[in-house]
Amino acid sequence: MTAEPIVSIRNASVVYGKVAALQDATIDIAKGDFLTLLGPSGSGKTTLLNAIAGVVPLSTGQLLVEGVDMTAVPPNRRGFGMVFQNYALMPHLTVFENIAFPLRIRRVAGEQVHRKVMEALDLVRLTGLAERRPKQLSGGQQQRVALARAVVYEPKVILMDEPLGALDKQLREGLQGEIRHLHAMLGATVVYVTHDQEEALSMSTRIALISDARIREVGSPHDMYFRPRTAFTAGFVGTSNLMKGRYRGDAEGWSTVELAGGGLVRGVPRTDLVAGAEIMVMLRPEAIDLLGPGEPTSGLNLLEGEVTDHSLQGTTWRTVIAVDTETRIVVQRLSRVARSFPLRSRVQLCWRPDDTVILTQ
Amino acid sequence: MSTTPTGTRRATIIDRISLPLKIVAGLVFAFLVAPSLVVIPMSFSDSREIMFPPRGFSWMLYREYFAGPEWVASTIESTVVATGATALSLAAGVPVAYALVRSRLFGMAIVRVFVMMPILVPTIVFALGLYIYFARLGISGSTLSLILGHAVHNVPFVVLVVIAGLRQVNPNIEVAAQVLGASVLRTFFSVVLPMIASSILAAGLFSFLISFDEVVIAWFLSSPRTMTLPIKMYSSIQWEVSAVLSAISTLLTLLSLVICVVGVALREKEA
Repeated sequence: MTAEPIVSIRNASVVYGKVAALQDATIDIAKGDFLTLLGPSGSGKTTLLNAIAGVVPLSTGQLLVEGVDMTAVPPNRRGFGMVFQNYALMPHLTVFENIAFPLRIRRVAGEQVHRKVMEALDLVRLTGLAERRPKQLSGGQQQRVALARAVVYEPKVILMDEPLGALDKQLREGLQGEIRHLHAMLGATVVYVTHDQEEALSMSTRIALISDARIREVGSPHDMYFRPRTAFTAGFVGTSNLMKGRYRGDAEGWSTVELAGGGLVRGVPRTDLVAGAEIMVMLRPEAIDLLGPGEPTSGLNLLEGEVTDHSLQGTTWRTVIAVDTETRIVVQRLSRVARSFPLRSRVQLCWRPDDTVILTQ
Repeated sequence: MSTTPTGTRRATIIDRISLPLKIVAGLVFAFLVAPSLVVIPMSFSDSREIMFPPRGFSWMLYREYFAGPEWVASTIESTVVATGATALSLAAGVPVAYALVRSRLFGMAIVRVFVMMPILVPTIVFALGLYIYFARLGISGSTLSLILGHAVHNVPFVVLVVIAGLRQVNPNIEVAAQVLGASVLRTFFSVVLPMIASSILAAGLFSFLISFDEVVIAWFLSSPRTMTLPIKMYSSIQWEVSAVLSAISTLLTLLSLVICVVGVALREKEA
């Protein structure tokens, strides 16, 4: 028996006048999911989150919570929690009272309020700051208070709207870890909005890629990175090299592609395509190895080119290679072990067939 | 604030103004406040005639004010009117300000114009309108009519002050409160109102002050039974040159000063 989704959104649209902020979104959220809505700004990801929260009404479509239609239920009766980019703590209340707020509304008894708030404070490592005002805390501390407030009443789903967007890089990475930890420890269901693909990859159990008001692709971080289905996904999640080509068919467990710039390469099979289809070949920069001219390779895809740029990024060497007049391929190899190639030298690019992802537009 | 992240203060335009310009500015300031301040020394005069510079020193004029039954009665009338008008203008103005800041409904621009109307229309026209209107209702000359008239007059001031306070409030706090489980009413009363409490208090103080020394509307609406303090002062100066006015003026100036300082302090605190 498959578990019933805790939230399911069916054909949801949000239309302002003639502009659709969200179009025909359908997605299920399972209990324990960490679903990230990833997309560029203005793509509709926050609209979808707000629609789940109930603060933006759906123009059409349905929202079910545990199988019950909640489309018309106001936000305060949906039983969700929410965390915002700018914290949204109540400045006139202490940290304790901010966290106690949802409990007081639910008429939880005084002693229990005290116990739960203190537990939540421990959970976000703010023990001892209960009597401070939000203004006396740093941005990272304020966001931890907001997290505590969103989990203290054990809501069915916790919604997070770019919660780390206002913090600097170091703090952000620290809090990413804490949110991930919180999710794992509480077994909570989280819907998380971000435009940061690295954040999405590192935190989620599932990613929904959104652009131009539509959900484009849904999958695990691993699939989104290693097996994207569209060039848009490949371009948005991680760095990618794209080459135009024509699909020739599958043989011996691999597909064969004829590159527009000349040459045949083998790739991941795509039985859903017909021979002759226009496709894109996608290679991740770290999937490619570089060899000097004439050095032996075995069973790998091969292209030749000239080094046009070569720079040390710290962990990796980043090398740009022109394989023909139009195509530049970016290669990243671990700087500790990889050989360095001088500018303008000829090199061979080689990579494994299963790193060759075939995309449709 | 004109401070850089490292804490050094950058020179502002004011810092770079030359000395002669500063002297001119000081003179203009003196010209503006002198008429208000000139009554203060006169109020401590020991003569019943108004003269400047004053002679002697006594509290006689103050005693005259506090001992005069007509002065006390009109002071009480003004207090009652100002209190009632303030309560009504807050009750109407705070929700209107909230709607104007938060609502995206069509037609809010028109509502804004209507709310600001008492400021836009000349006071004398507004007062005449109220006079005719209250006469039709049969309540002209009553304390109630004064309260209602001043309440309408003060609403735009309340709205402006409260709007300024609300603009400082992050609207996501209200969204958060609702997602956390608070109903719309609960959000308004236990989240929004406390966050703008100091703005509301400031608006109330200013409303009280405006009503307390308002002359034009009160002139149209008051009767001999319902004379407010400014009307009583104004009519008394027409019959006799009464030195007690300087004592009352000094007290009014003091009241204004205290209210303004408290009001500004409240708004600073909120910002």
